[in-house]
Amino acid sequence: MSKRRIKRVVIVGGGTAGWTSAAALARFFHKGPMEILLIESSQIGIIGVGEATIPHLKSFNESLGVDEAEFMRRTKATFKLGIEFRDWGQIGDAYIHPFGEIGRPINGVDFHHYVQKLRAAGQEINPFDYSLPVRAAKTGRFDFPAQDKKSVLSTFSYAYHFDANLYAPFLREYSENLGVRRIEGKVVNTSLRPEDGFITSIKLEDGRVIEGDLFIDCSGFRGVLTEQALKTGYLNWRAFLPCDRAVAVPCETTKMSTAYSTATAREAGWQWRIPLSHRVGNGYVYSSEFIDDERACDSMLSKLEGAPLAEPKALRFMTGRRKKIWNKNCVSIGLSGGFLEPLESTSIYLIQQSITALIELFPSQDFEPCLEDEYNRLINNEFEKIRDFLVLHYNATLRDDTPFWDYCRNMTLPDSLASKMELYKQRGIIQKYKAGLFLYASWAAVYQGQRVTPRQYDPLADLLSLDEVNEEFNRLRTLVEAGTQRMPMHSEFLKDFTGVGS
Amino acid sequence: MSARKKQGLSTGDIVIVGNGVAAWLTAIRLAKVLGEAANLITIVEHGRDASPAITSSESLRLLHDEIGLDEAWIIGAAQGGFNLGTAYSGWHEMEKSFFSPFGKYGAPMNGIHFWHFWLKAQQKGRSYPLSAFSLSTLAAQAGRFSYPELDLDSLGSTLSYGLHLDGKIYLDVLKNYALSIGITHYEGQVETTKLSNDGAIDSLTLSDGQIVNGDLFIDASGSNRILIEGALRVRYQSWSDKLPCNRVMTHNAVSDGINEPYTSAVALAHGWVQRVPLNQ
Repeated sequence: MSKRRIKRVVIVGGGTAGWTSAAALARFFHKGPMEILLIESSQIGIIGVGEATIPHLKSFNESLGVDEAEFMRRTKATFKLGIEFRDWGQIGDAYIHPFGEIGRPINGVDFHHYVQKLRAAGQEINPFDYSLPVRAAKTGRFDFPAQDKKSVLSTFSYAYHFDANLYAPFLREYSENLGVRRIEGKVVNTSLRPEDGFITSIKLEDGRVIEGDLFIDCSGFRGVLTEQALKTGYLNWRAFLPCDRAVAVPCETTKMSTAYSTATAREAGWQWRIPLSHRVGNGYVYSSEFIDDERACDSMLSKLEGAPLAEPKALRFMTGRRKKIWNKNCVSIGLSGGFLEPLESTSIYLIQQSITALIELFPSQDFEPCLEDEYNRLINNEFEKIRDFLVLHYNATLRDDTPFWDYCRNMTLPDSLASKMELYKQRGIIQKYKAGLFLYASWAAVYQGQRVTPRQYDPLADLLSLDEVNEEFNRLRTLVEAGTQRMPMHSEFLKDFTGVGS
Repeated sequence: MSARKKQGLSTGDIVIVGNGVAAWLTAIRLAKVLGEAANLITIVEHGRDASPAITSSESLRLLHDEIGLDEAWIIGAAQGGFNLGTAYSGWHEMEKSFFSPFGKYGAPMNGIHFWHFWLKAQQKGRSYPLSAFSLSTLAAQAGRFSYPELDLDSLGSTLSYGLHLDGKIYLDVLKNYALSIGITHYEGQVETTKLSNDGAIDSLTLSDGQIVNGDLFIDASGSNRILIEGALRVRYQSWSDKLPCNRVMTHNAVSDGINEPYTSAVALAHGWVQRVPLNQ
């Protein structure tokens, strides 16, 4: 049995995907005999996807045993309570999708049904007033969630904004300390086993040949192993998510540091604003079918809050995923596996899920096909759940000011999203699923923030009278406001926690 | 439509057809959700569908909690007992048996499931029976029982259980409970079903001529499938090619005095025999 163990894993590509994979493998396997190599070329730049993250990054860091304050100092991080969406449902609209609850169930019935009940009675209700993380974000406050599950201060979690170009070096140091060997070099050729097409070795520019049992392709969009060598193929989701380019530039900080990022819908896509401790990250994600590069760049620059700190950087991408993210003895992690625009900050999450699932389903040299199948089923599901949630943002709109928004409003939805939206529109039901991202609160935030209104609400919400519901709403709102007031300001908290002035 | 007052609830009248555990538990669970509007629920007792003995997993206990049925009381009333799992004999090999417990095996270590450590020990030639790591199994085999402990770090919390109940008494208990919380019932057979123009069920006519109107109908009539198939012609999907057993015979034996806290399932030449010990 142990003779058939994987003896050497070869990771191709540094960057966030490569070093995240190396760190996770090293964390679990460093005591064993398995060798972990990472090949990267300092000639090839990294994309540095995602300056904004979701709370899973925190638990991933915890599983590595990383000190949170140290991590935040090294990556110039700030705290993140959610994302503000501006101009999505309609120009002038704004809401925050928080990492936490909006309201709370009453008598076992979800909060949004009561919002509809009160609205049906003619009351004006803003559900986001009943969310602690939303109120904290809007008033510039932050604190760690309370441990006591009964406290309103426990109703959220948090993530970070950070400089992704600094995260990879941080993980590199961690990985190298646990014995991961880094090889400087550029892959020029891949050798396949004639009988089944498995990768046996790769050749570097300087002529060195590196053999391995399991290969992890973290080479980015090009997919040096999975596409150039294995011809795995790519599933294109452009019909659902037409944005295919981005232009990014950092600028000076001019405002108080906020514990949320902003995604503003624009004429042919959307623009991000991510506050870091030393600068603000900006970028315009757009569809080349609806706007040209120059106009997109000018449009982005015109919306900056401070002086640009670098030349704008242009990126091209194709939304979709590799047909087989695990193919033979090659697993594609990061952009080589697939790409979904950073609207909900999911890029690093997908990297973490991909490497975590690989560790859980770790193969032997026999590369049992059932493991590959199960892995692809799990990761495909992750991609599709995020895809559907992103498409919802574009489709749930009344905007008709540009051809881009006309397209989005009228596009044919994936069946899996169409059925979810139908459940919501007909009876206010938010479909709950166990595997894959985005729980009840996230769907509730976007539906309610982007004017998707159910035709009916849960009949059980009528078991309480209007007075009883109003009483409960008032109680909750008082709790949320009092809880928010008790939280320190984000900038103060950050300075205290990291020791870095902001 | 019924003329009864609807208490402001947009749910209409609910009619449940059937007279078994499925019908009465459904009625009670709905009534508990609807609260004051429980009188919207009507049961039409088509036939009687009582199995002599019921063996359940943990989920029935949770349901009892939700509907407010006290567990100790119901075990006493329905002459039942505790069920820590099922002993399977003669399934994978003649004369061999294994125990399938409620509850957990071992504990995960370093985030990895216990099962993988047990397999590793097997492969290294150190063979322990898996059952040695299950508190439910060991307790069952020793004829012992205790409630699970609430402290999730304790060994005692790894045990779980279901119930054994006398089916006929349990059904009467449920029925009395349902009637006590305002559920109405008719003791007649469904003679005919009237459909509306769009093919939905409009009303039922009972054997004594009574007409029962409703908005939502629940078919809990067992294998009669009186509404779903009898009236609406929704065909049954048979899985008998994968699970070929299609008959059951039941027998109440006089207690042999052994009241073991588990269920037994013994494989025979053409099927299997279940033993559910009751406290009778």
